[in-house]
Amino acid sequence: MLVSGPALVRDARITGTTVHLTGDTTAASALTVWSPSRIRTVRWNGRRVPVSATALGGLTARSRLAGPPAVSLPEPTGWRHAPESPETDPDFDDRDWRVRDLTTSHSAIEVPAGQPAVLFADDYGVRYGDVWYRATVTDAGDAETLSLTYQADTLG
Amino acid sequence: MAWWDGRPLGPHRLPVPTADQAAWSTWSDTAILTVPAELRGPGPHTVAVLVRRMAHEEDGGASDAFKSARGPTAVTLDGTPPTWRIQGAAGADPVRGPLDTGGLYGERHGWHLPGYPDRSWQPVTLPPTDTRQGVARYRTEFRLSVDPGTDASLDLTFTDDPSRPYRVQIFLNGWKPGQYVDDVGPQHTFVLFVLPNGSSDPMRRQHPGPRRPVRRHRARGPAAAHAHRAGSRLRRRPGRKGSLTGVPPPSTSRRSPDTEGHGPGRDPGHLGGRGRLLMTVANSCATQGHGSLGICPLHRRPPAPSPPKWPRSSVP
Repeated sequence: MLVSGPALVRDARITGTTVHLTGDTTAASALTVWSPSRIRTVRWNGRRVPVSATALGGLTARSRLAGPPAVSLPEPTGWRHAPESPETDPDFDDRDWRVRDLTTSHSAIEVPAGQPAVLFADDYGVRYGDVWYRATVTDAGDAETLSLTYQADTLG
Repeated sequence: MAWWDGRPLGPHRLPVPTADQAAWSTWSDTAILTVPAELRGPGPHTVAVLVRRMAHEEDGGASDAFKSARGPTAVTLDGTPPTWRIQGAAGADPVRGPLDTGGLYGERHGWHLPGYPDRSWQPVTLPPTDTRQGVARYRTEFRLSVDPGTDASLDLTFTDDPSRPYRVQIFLNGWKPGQYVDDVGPQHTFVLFVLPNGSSDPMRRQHPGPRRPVRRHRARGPAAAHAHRAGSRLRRRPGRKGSLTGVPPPSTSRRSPDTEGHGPGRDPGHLGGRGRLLMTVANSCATQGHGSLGICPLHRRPPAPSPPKWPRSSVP
């Protein structure tokens, strides 16, 4: 059996003088079937399709198979907003955050000299997503420069 | 991004790769941030740093590349290293796994999940006006009604002036389809899910259990997001009865009361659930923009046999 026209034919089954086709269309589509000569009736996705014989011995649908219906989508409106990042507030309670106190790392890179503790997030079990770090300094009244060396993938 | 006593010290980001650097996975840089003179003085002072590490390396060469560190490696304040506390994700989401959720406050507290009550949030129209350095969240809800015989994938497209350096994390019913970086791109369109019954569809998941109502999605986003259909195809697998369920709630959160949409007995192939979009915007400066929902090409598929008994293939 040969089927021409639809974007996809999934299955073809013959019972008596009928061929049952299942398949998909991406647009209104012609349908032509070349099948054993006893076939008189064509069904597409369970529905009978009126057909005419062609000069080349096939059966062709008199009207096109339906394509997918248009889909209407909502505009995403009705947004609600909430600010975040309370961690930046000096009064934020971070007492249950893990203190970075490890001195050895499972990482493939060396712990930089001069750092009293490992800073790499993975060593503290933080493997995915964004990470917060907080520090409270009591004797840095004249501090001028925060130097932050970091490592990340592209655009981190 | 860093803050000193709650005041922004500024953002820092690794450079956009050149063509030669496209395959680089691990980058390193040092941000030198100046504490403004008016913020100096007797302490104590609080330093907060938010780090987006992006991905780990893969390990195709079996060289332990994946162990390369992520995040800060060395931090000093005028040469002295402070003692830090760290906070990442609150724990792996028992439904979605660990990859969708990070350590932002809203992620640790379930703001991205479908059942989160956002009625107290301020209604806004996009583009937003909140341009402070930090994280902001935008949530909305949408309803879909798609013909059951149509395959479609839904996407979310962002359009904005690329001069604004902000990032957006997109959440759809708690799942994270991706991250948008306005001033870099190049990806502006994010596939939210594929219909019908696609494994990537967070609104409708195949479930072996009894049919359950589809729950609504919610997503949040920065700019105006606009949904558009990417394409649809009608399809049903033989011998596989579509049973649609929404996203099961994580065990730590209450089940959402939002169970409209697919009720039991409705065609499981019909997408009529509610979507919750959440956009998490990390501002390093002004945020503006516009997004839209869209659809890829449509496909009309055969109806499911009823009862769902598929004929044996017997192609001559």
